[in-house]
Amino acid sequence: MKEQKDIFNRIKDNQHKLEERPAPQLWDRLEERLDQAEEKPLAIRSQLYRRLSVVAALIALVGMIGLVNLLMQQNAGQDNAMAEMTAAPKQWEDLNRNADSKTEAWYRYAASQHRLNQRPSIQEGAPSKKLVAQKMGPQSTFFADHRDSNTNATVDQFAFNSKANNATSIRNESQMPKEEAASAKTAVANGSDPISSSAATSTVMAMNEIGEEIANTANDEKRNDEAELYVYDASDQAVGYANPAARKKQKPSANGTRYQAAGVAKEKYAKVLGGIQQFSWLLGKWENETGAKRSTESWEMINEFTIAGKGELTVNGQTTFTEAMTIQKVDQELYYVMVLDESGKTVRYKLKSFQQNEAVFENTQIDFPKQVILRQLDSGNYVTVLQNNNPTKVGESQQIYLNNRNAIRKEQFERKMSRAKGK
Amino acid sequence: MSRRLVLTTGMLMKLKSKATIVTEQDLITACKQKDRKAQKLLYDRYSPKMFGVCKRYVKNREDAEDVLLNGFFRVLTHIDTFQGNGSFEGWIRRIVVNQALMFLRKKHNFKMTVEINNIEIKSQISVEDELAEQDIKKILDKLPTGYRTIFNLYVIEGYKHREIAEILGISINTSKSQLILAKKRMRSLLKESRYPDVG
Repeated sequence: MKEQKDIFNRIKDNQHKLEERPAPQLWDRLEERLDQAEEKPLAIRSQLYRRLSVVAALIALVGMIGLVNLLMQQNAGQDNAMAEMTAAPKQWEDLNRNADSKTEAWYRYAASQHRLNQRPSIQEGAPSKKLVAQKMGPQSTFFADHRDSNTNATVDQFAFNSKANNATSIRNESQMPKEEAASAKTAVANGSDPISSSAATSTVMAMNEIGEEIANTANDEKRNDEAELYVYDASDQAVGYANPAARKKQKPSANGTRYQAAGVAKEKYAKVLGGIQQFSWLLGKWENETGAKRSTESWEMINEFTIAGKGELTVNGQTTFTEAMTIQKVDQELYYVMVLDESGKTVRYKLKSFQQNEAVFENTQIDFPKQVILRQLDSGNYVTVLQNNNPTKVGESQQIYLNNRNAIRKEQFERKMSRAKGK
Repeated sequence: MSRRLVLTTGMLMKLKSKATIVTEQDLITACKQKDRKAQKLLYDRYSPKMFGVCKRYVKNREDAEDVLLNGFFRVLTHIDTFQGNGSFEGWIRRIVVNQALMFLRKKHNFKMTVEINNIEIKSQISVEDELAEQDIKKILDKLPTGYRTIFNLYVIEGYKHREIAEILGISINTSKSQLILAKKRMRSLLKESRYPDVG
């Protein structure tokens, strides 16, 4: 019992030993925030002005509409009066003179036409009616069909393939043997990599051809009853990164040209397949320095379906670990793809929720982790958390791998990154 | 009398250059005027202690820094609300503790995730009454978040169980039993860290 009391008091008496001057950069960050906060009142004021101006504009608009209505009514009244008149008054004669050839009958006709035109298409004050905006023009792009009938799927897969020197391949599932297509599907369902199971048969095309293909597909209305599944797969690329030799072969700049090659079709895709943009905050360089260990991440947009990140850990300047992660859009879902152990096998996590700066990716087929969480912090930093909701034993080799990733915590694998200086 | 005192310090502040801040009151007054130098001085004076507080609540160093940053941001932007009754350091500490709790609540929800065998290298520590920094760190790091938070609030901050229950949204009994469990766990952790083979 005495010992129990002791330990509390001992820690209490010695707690000052935890005192420590925080990193000097912290003050800079604080100062930055203070500066921003001091600028804010101005911003708020201008916001207030903006709101006021919006209100004023609205009032002016309503006033204008009212005025126009009033004038129209007056006009209508005049027209009616004119139509009913048998003998024209003096002013009428003046008007008549100016309009020389136009007869009284013409004016009557014009007045009636005016009333016809004036009949409002929407009746005010009828709560059961509402104004519906309808967009005209051709409606059936293949994207719409895609959403409607994605069960009957023809699968086009755009694969990033480091083995094929990063050339992109298009495959059409209908051209594949049936079992192969089925196995690819189940592979997707299992959260593993569908490409590697059938990479050998893939047709490789250059990206400018893909650009055309995309454009053609987009315009092709014959494919109404087919739906496409686009799979950008960076998993092979990920393996490539885990293996330094393969890494050397890669030409990162090739990505840029490929991106451009997609040309006009790109914009169409970007509009309809939005979603990856949610992660645009991730783009750029991140770092975390703990003593001699320094880990960096750099994320770039590969195309409108994929953003790819490279992770690197250096200890005393020596690179000890590299990895590749991607966030990709497949069909209507977003996936986080990463490697979890020495085997280099990639695992997909499907985006389950994205709320309050926290994106939760999940794959319940995996022992650990079932969830990968990307969390943006108020401070501008971001954290990747690998976790299960229930306590789980993690195998030793995976533990070593994840620790190599510079995941610091023990109850939860977590890597926190701050924005790299100079970018 | 006190009003006159405040007045004179205010006048002193005007007379002296901004750099000469002597008393705590000077510092507060200057910070209320958003004097950046004074703010830095305040930060330099209290941040080591408050960083210690953060580290007690939050395990990860980066997280502790984030909490500290948020804490001082709040201190400096809300310094107008400091009435001058009670200790200034206590006021800062309450804000920092509050930030730490907010952080823990957001993140941990007081249910936890994965238990993995610890692969830290255990070092032999001589048996003395005095605890080394490493000991404290180790014990606090290994303590589950719930235990640690209640230990911090009860033993170090001196809150009552009733208050802790209110702060954390748990029952008084939970608070009490968690503290007992915390004691138990800490004892075994201390033993383990001193006689690693036994643990």
